[in-house]
Amino acid sequence: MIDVIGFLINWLIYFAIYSMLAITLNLESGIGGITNFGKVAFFGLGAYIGALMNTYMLLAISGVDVSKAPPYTAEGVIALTRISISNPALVLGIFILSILVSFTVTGIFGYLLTYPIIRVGAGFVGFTLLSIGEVLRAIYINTEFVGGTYGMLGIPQPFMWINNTLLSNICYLLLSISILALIYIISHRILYSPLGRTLRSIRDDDIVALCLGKDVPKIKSKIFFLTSGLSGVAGTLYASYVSSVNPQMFVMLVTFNVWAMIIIGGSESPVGAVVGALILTLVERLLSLTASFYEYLPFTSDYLRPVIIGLIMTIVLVKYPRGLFPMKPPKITKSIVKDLEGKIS
Amino acid sequence: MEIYRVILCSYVFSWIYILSGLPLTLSYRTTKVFNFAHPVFITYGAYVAIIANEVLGKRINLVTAVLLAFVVGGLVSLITHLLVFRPLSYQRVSSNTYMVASMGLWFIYQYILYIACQILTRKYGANFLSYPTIEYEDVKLVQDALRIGNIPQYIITASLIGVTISIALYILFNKTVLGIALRGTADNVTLAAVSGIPTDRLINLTWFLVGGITALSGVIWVNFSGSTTPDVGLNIVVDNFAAAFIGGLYSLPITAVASIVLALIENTLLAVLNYYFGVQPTIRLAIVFGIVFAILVARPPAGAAGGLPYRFIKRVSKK
Repeated sequence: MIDVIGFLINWLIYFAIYSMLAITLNLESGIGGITNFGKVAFFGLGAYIGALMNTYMLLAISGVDVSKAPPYTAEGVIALTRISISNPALVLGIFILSILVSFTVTGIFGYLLTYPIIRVGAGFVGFTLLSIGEVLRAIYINTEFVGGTYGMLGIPQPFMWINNTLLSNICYLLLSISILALIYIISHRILYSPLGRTLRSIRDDDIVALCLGKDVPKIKSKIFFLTSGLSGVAGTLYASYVSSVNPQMFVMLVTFNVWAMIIIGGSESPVGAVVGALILTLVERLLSLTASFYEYLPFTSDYLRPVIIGLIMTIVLVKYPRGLFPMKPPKITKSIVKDLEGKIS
Repeated sequence: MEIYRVILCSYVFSWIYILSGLPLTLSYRTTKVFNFAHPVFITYGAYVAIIANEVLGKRINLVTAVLLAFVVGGLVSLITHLLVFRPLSYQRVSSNTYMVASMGLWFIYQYILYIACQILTRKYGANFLSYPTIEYEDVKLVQDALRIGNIPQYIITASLIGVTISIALYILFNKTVLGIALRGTADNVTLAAVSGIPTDRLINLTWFLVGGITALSGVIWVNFSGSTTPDVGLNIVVDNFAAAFIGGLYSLPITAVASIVLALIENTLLAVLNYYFGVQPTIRLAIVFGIVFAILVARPPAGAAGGLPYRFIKRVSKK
């Protein structure tokens, strides 16, 4: 018997996390014109920051000797589970702090990266950011205190102290959805603000924007700080939900999935990004749920998913280059017409 | 420290980067498509040689491998162009759309290869997901005949393929009418079409050459590496793109020089770091990226890779 409620909660949490990535990617790439092929770098950095704070800091404050029982060992994981059940206030406090730190650090990392990338063309931006993701992965693999190749386990979920798995998952879902709503509102506000219009003008032709007196590099840096920071928050939420991080989680495939979401949905509107995330996370969850049915295939079903998603994405790109839900031009209301008429006369 | 080994590695990597970097620049110049699926051609070249080796009972000739890889790589590239890039170019989409489409293609090709490897592993019993070095029979015969058995085979393979392709490309682009027409198409498609050059057919030919030549670097790779995995292209991609960018995505000679310099710096630094500090070779990517980053900050690239307006701002503010 398939656990329908469990599946729904699981799917919706994945949907919330991927939607955050899709909305921010839409803001920086679809509207700001920064071809970010290294989305996973910021997502992964956020996840690792969250993982480090929620384990090392929790252990250190609770008086456990971190040098004797580091969180990537069995002793560390046992101590973490004990603490996260017995001390809810501390766990929640550190979790909120980790989200704030993750936003700031990832944001600053993105901001610093804009220094070299805004000076080169679109192709090089994509390539530089793509490599950053791979370089960070190489660093995680070669760093012992983040668990090396095996990564870290036992990252406490902030609602683990509730003595009911379903209830604690529902709480986590509500938290994720509220953060998603906040990010959606921010994105929507930016899109229809003067900053949003400037961003679209930069995307369409940065030389024209520059000639009209817009400080293109500064505006790009600003928006990249915000989107990188928010991707970091998504990473922290992900790490706490799956309660583990390892370098294999943050491969280029994640970036590719997020790109597929905004391509399918429509790479200009936040609604398109959310719809794209909804469709693809559902497909992904259903495929992983039914993985056992693919046993008769002569190959691992994991390899089939990227091929299917890639095919859908390429076909949509060739047939509908603006996505299935393209952004509509802003409505011209009567008040705007009146205002314009007043100005003309 | 093994200076001998560093020199040999740098030599082979130089040819691999040249054979994969030159076509990347060529494809960008001709079609203005920045193809992220480019490293797939290297992987496909390598796997064509591997599959042919298994089918022929582990007795494969270099000539067979080169011909097969060239044709398969070229066809994959041509089909990609006809099915995806050409329809996109008719719709006059932005360069970002091309990049995203090529990224999608990269993953499709990559995972199709994974699936094929798993099926072939079951069929032939050999591990296709990590295949050992291939020895070419005809190169071995030549080595025995000339009594140069002590020179590693990959040096001979890389030199043969590299020198032949370089000379062929030089003659094609400088001495033949076809090459001049290709260059004309690369520089200005409209002008070339007005002059009576069949640009559509020449663009198709360019894509075929791009895929074919890139696949040859895979043929060298399987002769050199002790373990070929479907991620071969992925491991070479950073150097590959870096060399093409240093050449401004325009100049073939600068791309070739950049490939040699990158291979030399990277192999020397890796050997030094490993010898003195015990750093693992997995850090290779970080080293290459460090070099690219330094170049980016010190001297933003010119040509198509550069962002003109920001460099303009810099010059104005200095005054």
